[in-house]
Amino acid sequence: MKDLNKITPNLSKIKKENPFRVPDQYFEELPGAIMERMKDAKYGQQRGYRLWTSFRPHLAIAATIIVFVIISYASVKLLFSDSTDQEFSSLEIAEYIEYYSSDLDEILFYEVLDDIQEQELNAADYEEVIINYLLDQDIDFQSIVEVL
Amino acid sequence: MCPVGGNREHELLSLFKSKENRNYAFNQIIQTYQERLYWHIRRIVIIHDDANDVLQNTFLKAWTGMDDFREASQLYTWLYRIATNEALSFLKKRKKKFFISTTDVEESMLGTLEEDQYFDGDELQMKLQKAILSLPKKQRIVFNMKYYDEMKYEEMAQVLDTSVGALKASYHHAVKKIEKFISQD
Repeated sequence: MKDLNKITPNLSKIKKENPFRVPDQYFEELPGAIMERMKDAKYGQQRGYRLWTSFRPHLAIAATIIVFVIISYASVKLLFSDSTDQEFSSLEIAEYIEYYSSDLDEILFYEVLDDIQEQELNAADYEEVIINYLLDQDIDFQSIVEVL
Repeated sequence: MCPVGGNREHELLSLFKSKENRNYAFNQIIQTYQERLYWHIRRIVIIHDDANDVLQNTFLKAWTGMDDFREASQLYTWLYRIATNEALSFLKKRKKKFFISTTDVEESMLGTLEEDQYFDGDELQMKLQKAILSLPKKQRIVFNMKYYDEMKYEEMAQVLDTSVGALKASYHHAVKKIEKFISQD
């Protein structure tokens, strides 16, 4: 302390006392306040633990039921799956129609083409059919020839 | 700071270990150390409400860590260490919360000190507090522990986890800076 007085004459002049103070009854009430906070903290922990322990059996049952339902659904789906039960989006349907309609056109095209070829091949027969039809209708054959 | 006798500490710790007396023992521990820890914290954070929060957190931490407390160190040294860490982390949090620099934290503490209804010091004591606040954080703690709490360097070394030599040097520098600050104007 003597050394301090020598080195720090100004500091030594200041009374070495605590300039701070606390509100009245602060230290009397503090242990109670701390114990209360500790009780709350403990109660919070215990409450969390109690909630968990009381709900644990219910959660276990619920989890078992959910797992059972999922397994059953998956099994049924797997065993009785029907490929015709597929669902298509509107885009898929549009593509499907377009694809098959173009196919149909092609088929029709070939059918028509075949008919035409057939017609060409049997053109002589058709001429006869036409002449017979006209004759049946009493149309003057000579006049038709003249028009043609 | 005069530590409570080793026997008393041992007695309180033994009481704490038995479940029936746990609360009673901890209440006794609070009553034994609350004032010393409060003043230590108050000198770091300055404002009473902040000191109150930090002190309560200190005891709550002590309560949770008490089972792991090994009697290798003294109980009061251990509590002092928790209090110091809590006070420092409080200042750090405040700095982060308000996005302010360390200097601004000290300036705001100075402003609070001037308006503090729980500060009874005269003009010279106010000047001393301002001088202490102008020190770096660790140096301030070392100065307070030595000057006000009159702790031995060996005990301080345990609390602050620093060598005795470093603490002596730190205190010497702090005293010189404070003397210079006070002698100005």
